[in-house]
Amino acid sequence: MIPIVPVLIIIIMIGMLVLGLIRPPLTVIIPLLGIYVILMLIPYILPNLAINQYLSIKYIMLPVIGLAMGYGISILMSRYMNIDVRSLFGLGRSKGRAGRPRTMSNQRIKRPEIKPEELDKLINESINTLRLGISINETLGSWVEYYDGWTDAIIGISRRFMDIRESADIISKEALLLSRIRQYESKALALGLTLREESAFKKQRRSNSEDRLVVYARPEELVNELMNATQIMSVYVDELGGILEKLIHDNGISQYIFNSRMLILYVDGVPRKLIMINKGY
Amino acid sequence: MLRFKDLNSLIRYLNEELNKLLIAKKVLDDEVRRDPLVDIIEIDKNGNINIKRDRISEVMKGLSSELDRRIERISSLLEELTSEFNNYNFTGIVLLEFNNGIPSRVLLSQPLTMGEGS
Repeated sequence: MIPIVPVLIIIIMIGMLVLGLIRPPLTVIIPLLGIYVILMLIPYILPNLAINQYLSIKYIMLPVIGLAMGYGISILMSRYMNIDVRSLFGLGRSKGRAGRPRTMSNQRIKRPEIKPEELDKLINESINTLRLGISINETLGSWVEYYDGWTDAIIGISRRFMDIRESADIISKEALLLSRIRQYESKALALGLTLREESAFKKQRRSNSEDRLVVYARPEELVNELMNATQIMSVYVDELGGILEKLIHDNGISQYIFNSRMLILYVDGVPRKLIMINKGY
Repeated sequence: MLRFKDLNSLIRYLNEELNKLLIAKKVLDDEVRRDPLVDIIEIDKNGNINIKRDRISEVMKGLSSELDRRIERISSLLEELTSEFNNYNFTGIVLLEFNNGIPSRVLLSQPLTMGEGS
C-alpha cells in the first residue's frame, strides 16, 4: 500500500516551491503556512488521535524549505538570467497593474491640498523670483563712464552696442551647435572616431578648484547657460539699440549736449542717465 | 554673459573697462566734492527722454560702492588671468560671466577635436 501522507507532503512541498517561484506577497504565504502548521500539529493538540506517523513536527520544515528554494531560484533567475518567473506564469504583469492604481490613490490622499488663495500667493512668489533672476542675476550691472564730449559718448555707446550684439550673435549660434554636440559625438563614435580635449586643456582643467575666478568647463556643460544668455542678451541688445537710436535722432537733446563733458550712468547695462558737467558752473 | 573670440580680446576688454571705470570714478569724485547742479538727460524704461536738473550727489547716491566693487572684481580677474596664462592666448570659447551685474567668472571651454582612438 502506498503511504498517502508522505506523498501528500511531497506534493505540498512542490506546490510551495512553485508558489515561491511566483513570489506572492506575505498575505498569501502566511495563511497557507498557518493552515499547514495547524494540520501538522494535530497529533500534538489531540494526543489521543494517532492518525499517522508522518504527521509530525519534523515534516513542517519540508514545505517551508520548498518555499524558500522557490523564492531563491526566482530571485536568482530574475537577477542573473533576466527571466521574470512570475511573467512566465502570466501573473507578474496583472499583479503590477493591480498594484499601481492603489499606490497612486494613496499618494493622492497624502498630498496636501492647495487652497486657491495660497495658489495665488505661490504664483506671485514664483513670478517675483523669476523677475529677480532676470533683473539682478543676469544683467550687466550698473556703472558710470566719462566722456569729453557728445561725439565721444555716442561712439562709446555705439561700440558697446556693437560688441554686445556681436557677442550675443556668437552665443546664440554656439548654444545651438553645442546643444547638438551629443549627436555629433555618437555619430563620431559610430565612425570609429572619438571626440577629445586637447591635452594642454586637460592639464589645466585638473588643477581646477572651486573658488577660482577662471573656470574650465566642458562645452556641453555650457549649453544651458548659453541658452539662457541668448534670450537675455537679445532683449538687452534690442533695448540698447533703441536707446542709441533715440540719442542720435532726438532733437531736444542737442541744446544740452553742445560742448559739454558728460558722465553716463548705465543701469542694468543700459545707459539711463546722461549727466552734463560744465566747467566753472 | 559675454563671449570673446580669445583670451587676449577678453583681457583687452577688461583693461578698457577698468580704465573707463577708473577715469569715471575720478571725475565723479571730483564733481561730487563740488556738487554742482547739473542737467540730466534721463531715458526711462519706455525709451522716453526727460531732462531735469539735480545735484550730482543725488543722482549718484549709492553708486560709488557699486563702482568700487566692479573695479575690484575686474582687477582681480585680470590678476588671475595674467598669473595663470602669462600672455598665452587661449583660443576657444571664452565667456565672461556676470553675477548680480558684476563680472564674476571667466569660463573657458574648447570645441572638441576629432581624433582616431583616444
